[in-house]
Amino acid sequence: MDNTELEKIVDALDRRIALGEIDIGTYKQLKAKFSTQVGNNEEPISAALSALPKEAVSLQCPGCMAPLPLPSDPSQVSVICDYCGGTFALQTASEEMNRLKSDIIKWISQVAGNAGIGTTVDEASRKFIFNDKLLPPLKTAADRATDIFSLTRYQSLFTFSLLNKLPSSPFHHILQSAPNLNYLVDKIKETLVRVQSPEIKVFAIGEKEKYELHALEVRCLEAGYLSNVRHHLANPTPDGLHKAKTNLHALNELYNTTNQLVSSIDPSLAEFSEALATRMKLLEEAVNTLEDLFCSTDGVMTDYVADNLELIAVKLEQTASAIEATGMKPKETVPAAEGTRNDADTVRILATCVRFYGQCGAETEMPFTIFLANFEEAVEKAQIPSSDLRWLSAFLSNLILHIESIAGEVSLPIVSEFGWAEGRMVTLVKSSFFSGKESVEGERKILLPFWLAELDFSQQKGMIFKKGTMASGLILTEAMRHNKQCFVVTSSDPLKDQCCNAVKSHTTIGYSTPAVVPVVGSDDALKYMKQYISSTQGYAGGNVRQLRLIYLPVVVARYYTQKSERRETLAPSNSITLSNFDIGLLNIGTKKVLFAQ
Amino acid sequence: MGIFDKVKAIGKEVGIGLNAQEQYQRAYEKGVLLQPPDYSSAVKHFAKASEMFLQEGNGDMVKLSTVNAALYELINKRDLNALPEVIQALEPIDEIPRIGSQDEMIQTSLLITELRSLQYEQQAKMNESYADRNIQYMKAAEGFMKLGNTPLHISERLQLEGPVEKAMQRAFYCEGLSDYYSALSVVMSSPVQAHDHMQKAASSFRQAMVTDWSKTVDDYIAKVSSKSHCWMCGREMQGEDVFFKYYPAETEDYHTHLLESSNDDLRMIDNADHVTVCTVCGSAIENQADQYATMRADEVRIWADELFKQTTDVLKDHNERLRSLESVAHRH
Repeated sequence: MDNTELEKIVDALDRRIALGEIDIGTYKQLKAKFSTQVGNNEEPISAALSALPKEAVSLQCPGCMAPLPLPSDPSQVSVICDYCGGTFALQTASEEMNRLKSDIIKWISQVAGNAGIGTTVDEASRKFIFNDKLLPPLKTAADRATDIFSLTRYQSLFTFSLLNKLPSSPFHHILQSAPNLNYLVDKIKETLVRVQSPEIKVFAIGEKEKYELHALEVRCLEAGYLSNVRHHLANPTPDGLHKAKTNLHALNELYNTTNQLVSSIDPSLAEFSEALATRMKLLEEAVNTLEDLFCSTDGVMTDYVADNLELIAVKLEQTASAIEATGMKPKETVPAAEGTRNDADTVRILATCVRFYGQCGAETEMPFTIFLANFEEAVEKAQIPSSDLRWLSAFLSNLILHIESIAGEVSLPIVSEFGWAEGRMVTLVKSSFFSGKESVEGERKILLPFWLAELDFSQQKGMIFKKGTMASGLILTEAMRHNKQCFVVTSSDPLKDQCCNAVKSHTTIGYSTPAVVPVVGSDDALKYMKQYISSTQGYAGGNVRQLRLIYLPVVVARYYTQKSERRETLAPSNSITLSNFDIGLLNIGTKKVLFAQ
Repeated sequence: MGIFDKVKAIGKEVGIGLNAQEQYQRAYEKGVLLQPPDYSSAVKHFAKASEMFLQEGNGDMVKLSTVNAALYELINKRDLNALPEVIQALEPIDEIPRIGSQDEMIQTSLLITELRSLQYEQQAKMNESYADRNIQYMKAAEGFMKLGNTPLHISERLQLEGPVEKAMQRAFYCEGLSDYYSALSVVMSSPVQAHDHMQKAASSFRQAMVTDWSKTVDDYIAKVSSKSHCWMCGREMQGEDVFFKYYPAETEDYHTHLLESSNDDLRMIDNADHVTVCTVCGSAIENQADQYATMRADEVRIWADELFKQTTDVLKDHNERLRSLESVAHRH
């Protein structure tokens, strides 16, 4: 008799004992006889268990459930997790794992009704037990453990220190709303150990069952890895950046495995996992660049690095589109695509920072970290509570244009004529009986940034027979600070022509007249202008068009007598009345820039 | 200038003896371009100019005056029910002056697309069916999306809710509303699908930069995606406050241990002194409790009515006795 026939006899014995046709003594005797002949007298479960690939006994980090490195030295008492960075006593970690693992067999016996190791349950029954008894409680436990996290898991993953103080960034919003890692680990550890245990794996017979088990493992593990990435990037240190990369690499492998496992079962999920794996790979490259920038003591090839980062941003956007096209449910694809796009935006901002660093610091071998710290200070001065990634991106590009224009590399609309100043200073001189007539001197000349737009509005003439006519002018709002003040320059004002000429023929700021950095974004400027139009008598129904940045000349005049003194900030038009402000100098790398305070 | 010319000039100033073109011009001077604009006056003058152009046989100007009258009436009254008439008036014309201007021309096709989208929005608002709202908001979004990143011409002047400056932003806003109502229309049959729609809505509202709606939708997602087993029937339900609710109950650590040892869903008692109960079990208990309470209240009412009746009879008896005593006392 060949093995197949012998196996059939053994199966028939199983059936007959189950139906009560033979007694247990006969069953055992016959089964022992035939099993020996088959050449395999192991119990099916024990056999399956021993057939599983052998892996080195590993410990899992009590802090994040990632695999802990095996101690290289037998006398080693503690171990540092490569993923979360926590240090744990080996004994504690080992005891915890043993405790969790020792519960598994007991749990299987309870749930599956004594169908565990050492019992005679065939493959079909094991499959049934897995789907009917073991999988549902595991799924519920994994669901409950990760459901708070599942709302945010695929959202923004990438950040760097410049964004840390930004009042409104998607990354920090996610970081704040994501559950605490300890809480999460506390919830997932039991389920994860069960899902990963060889005792459960012998029940996952078919492809589908294997995938189901892997999906639960992914859900638990990714919670730890994703949380680690966010925490390491939120407080970046060289070691933290390295660990963020390790976690991203682990995620990449996890999603690639899913892709391979489900390619024949669920093509949509396979594509989704592939896109997620690509995202993690790209982010790993971005973090790698960030690590180089933070740790490099040699010079940085800024153009090369910035080009590389921009390429990563483009690929991330393509990945976001790929995620949307996978055919997975929107509850998965929407946050994943949105998060990937936010990552792309952040990587692009980093690229801009690197280019900027190339202009003011890299050539003197100033470390990138010092440049970034300067820059963070500038961002902190410029931002308002509603500032977000869009604002930061606009601020960066305006700042770069500003600095390039000072260096004579970029032309901008600038009115640089100061001829009006002398006359205007004199007209504002006051005199009184007690303190006499004030003397005046021009204390400083500066160029101030304004947002400029064309304004179409109507004008009313006549007292009795009122008549409206079309009028046009320019509307300006300060770009050096968020004080929302707007000014209308009418057609009769000489400044209007000067502004129009400046818009037509750009020039550079240069070094002769100091210029203040613009901090207001175009969206905010347009909002301030519209608020002004709707709330100011005479401009109702007005229309704002063609918004652009312009620099106007301003003089700070000092009026003084023997007893007192005062300062006035004078603009080239009577329509523009500026409240006083201080100007502060700030170093960004090797450049000095002026900020209004 | 002779006296006749002076009288004629004064007459024109007060609106007497104007020809059609002057009447049209007067709509701007005495309405659109006044500060603040007097749109009702503008509508009146445009309508009159339209009649006069009709008499003159100037078809193009009839159309232009009629459109302007309709448009400024819409802006003045902000009555979105008038949108179909405005669209109809705009259709035969290629260009009209921009709102608030006499010289700058805009293509009517852009305006028609904007107004059609607003019309769909209005229809959605008036509709009580969530499923229909979903369709109408989606049509509105598609219309705004066609306009791309161009500024909107009318929406800003109608004081509508949501973004009114750029077509693209309004498109995302309408898309968000469409998905929001789509979620509400399916939530009672499939909270899983509702979760999908809400997720799309959240993304659209974020793109439209409407923070209040984003928050509303995020809160809803947190609820609709949450799952728990029912303490009573043991079935798993998805959707807090939709298919399961937290009911007050006495729970102790013992119950937690009990659930842990039997691998049951700990969510059932994750809220102190509460258990999750599905809406079927919960409503069955509530309804039965209501029925018992009503029954008991009726019993009490019958008992009390009897008691009141007896008391009333006693009082009546006492009153009669008192009256007879009084009548005896009066005779003496």
